[in-house]
Amino acid sequence: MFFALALLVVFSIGVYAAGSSTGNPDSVIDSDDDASNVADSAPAANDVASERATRKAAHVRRKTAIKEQYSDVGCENVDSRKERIKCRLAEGEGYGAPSGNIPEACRLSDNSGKCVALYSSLKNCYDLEGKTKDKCFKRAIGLRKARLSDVAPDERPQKVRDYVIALLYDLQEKVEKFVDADKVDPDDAADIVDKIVEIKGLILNGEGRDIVKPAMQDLRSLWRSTSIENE
Amino acid sequence: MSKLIWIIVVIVLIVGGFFLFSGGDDDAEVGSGGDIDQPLDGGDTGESIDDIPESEFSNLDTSDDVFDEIDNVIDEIG
Repeated sequence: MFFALALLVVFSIGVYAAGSSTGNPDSVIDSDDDASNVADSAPAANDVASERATRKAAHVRRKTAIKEQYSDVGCENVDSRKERIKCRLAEGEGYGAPSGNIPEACRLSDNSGKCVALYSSLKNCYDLEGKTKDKCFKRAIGLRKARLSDVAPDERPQKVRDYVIALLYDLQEKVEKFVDADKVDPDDAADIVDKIVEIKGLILNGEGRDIVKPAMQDLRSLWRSTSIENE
Repeated sequence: MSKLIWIIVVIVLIVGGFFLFSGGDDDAEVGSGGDIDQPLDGGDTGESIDDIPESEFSNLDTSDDVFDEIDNVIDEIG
């Protein structure tokens, strides 16, 4: 009995020893290999960070150049819509449009007053995130349902238009934040925002899905082809 | 006499049943009262969007989320 117990203890110690060892007489070399692997990857990570910093610096320089270009006339007096957009983006979130200024998309609308009212009802939603933001949008446009498919058929087309306007505005806000963070080239950002404004105009003026859908596809392609850091 | 009573009872039952199945309640006669139980415009039962849990709504965190949501609804603009 005692002998069996002793054998069991010895055997257990052996199993424990086997399980806790590395089992590799060259473990020192392995650790050296690990160290060399880390050393090899460090320059690559440094290259990426360096490229990112270079791009960011270029974006900052470009914003400065745009601000200087329009410093005499002011953003609102620029003739081209895209250039006005570019000027405002370069000025950043600190830019304050003059009071009474009508949003670009509303200038395209046959009913700019209604458009401005819609913008006013939505503006507090953009500080929110995720599903909270969606709920805010839907509350602002007068919905009592979470899903547009639950809205009465006669009301649905107009509510969908208002909702898509809100979503397009959200995309625009995202672009503006990317520009402020120097994560995107200001010229590329202006192209995207200009396209967004164009689509909002189409929707506000009652164009059908046969025109709006292709424009949305163009916008998505443009977005995907634009280099945006960490997007 | 008992036959007369039975006849009266049957007539009362028939007349009462007639009113019962014809929905002869006060709300219908009033007319506008009948609208109280009707859903509001757009099939809405009067609930507020604030009563709906956030899990019922769409996530709009990323640009892909927003583009996908637009794709989901764009056909409804007519």
